[in-house]
Amino acid sequence: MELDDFKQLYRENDSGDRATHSAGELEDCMRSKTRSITGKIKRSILFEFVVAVFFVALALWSWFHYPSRLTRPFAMLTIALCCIFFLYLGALYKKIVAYEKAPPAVKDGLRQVITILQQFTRLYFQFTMITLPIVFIFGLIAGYLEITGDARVQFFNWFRGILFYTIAFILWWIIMYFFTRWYIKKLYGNYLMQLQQQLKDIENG
Amino acid sequence: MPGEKDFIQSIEQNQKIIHKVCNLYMNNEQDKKDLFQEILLAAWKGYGNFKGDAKFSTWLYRVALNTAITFYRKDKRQIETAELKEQVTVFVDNNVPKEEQLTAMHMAIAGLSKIDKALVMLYLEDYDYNEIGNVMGITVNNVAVKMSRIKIKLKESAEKYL
Repeated sequence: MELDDFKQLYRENDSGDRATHSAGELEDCMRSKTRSITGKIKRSILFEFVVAVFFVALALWSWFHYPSRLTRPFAMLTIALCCIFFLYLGALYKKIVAYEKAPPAVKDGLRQVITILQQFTRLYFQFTMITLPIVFIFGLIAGYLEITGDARVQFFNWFRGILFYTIAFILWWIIMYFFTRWYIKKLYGNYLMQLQQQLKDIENG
Repeated sequence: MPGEKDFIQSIEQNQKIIHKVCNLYMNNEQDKKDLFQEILLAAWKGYGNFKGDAKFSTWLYRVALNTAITFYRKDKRQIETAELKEQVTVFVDNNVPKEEQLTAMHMAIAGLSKIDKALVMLYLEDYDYNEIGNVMGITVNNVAVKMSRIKIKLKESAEKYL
């Protein structure tokens, strides 16, 4: 049997009176929570937005309550990082809403979902990797201030101390690098690969 | 909410389209139900921008296929691992002539990629190549080439199932 014969039979037998939902059932469906990938990313963005707002509030609070040499630059840096993060999250959120409001053709839809997913995972990865050295440097400065302020510590070996701290940081950074990559791949890797394969399928003439 | 009543009315009249897409892409009832819900939500989110340039049914196909093709599953209940036999209920009743050949064709369609399935569905719904191209976002020539390949592939696959 060929597809055209099948089509003929299909059209003859397509009664269209199978499973139907009433208006009430459709309304109920519309009230439910979406499980789409864009919906999932939107929820993640909102969650991260709330977390970033919390950190900004915490930074401001520490600014006024602990006016030490280290607190203020750290608070400023935290606020600056959160602001950059807000901008990126906002732009991504806007992109998702635009995609949802105007459903494109299948090929463009695939491209947009892939782009959204790639940007989200990249943002997640880069933000994690950037915050690590910042925390390291501030930890180093905090340690220095702690030691110099303590009169009992007179014979501290700076070279060994910094070497140990740097090696520990590099090891931690490597672990986090691979862990974050693995985690992102576990969450979205296979799905992203499937989408890319579908895009390839549709693009190949 | 404004437009909600119109939307529900339009969906009520065209819900067959969503059911067909769900049947084509999902195997078990729970998955079909989930996909139905996602398509409905996606259609509702986009309904505000539906200007009526195209027919509502064509627009709904676009939304439904977009949603089905990008449908995210956390678990591994994929169509490829499911029993293809269940796909027999996709399009037509079983009590039609040439049942075995029809079954073979259904199984061949079930074995296609998600993109090819979408093309076959639109083709069976009697959309011309231009309309298929608009829904899929590809050129008419591309549709023609793909359909020609799919027809050959389906014929060969269906023969294997007999």
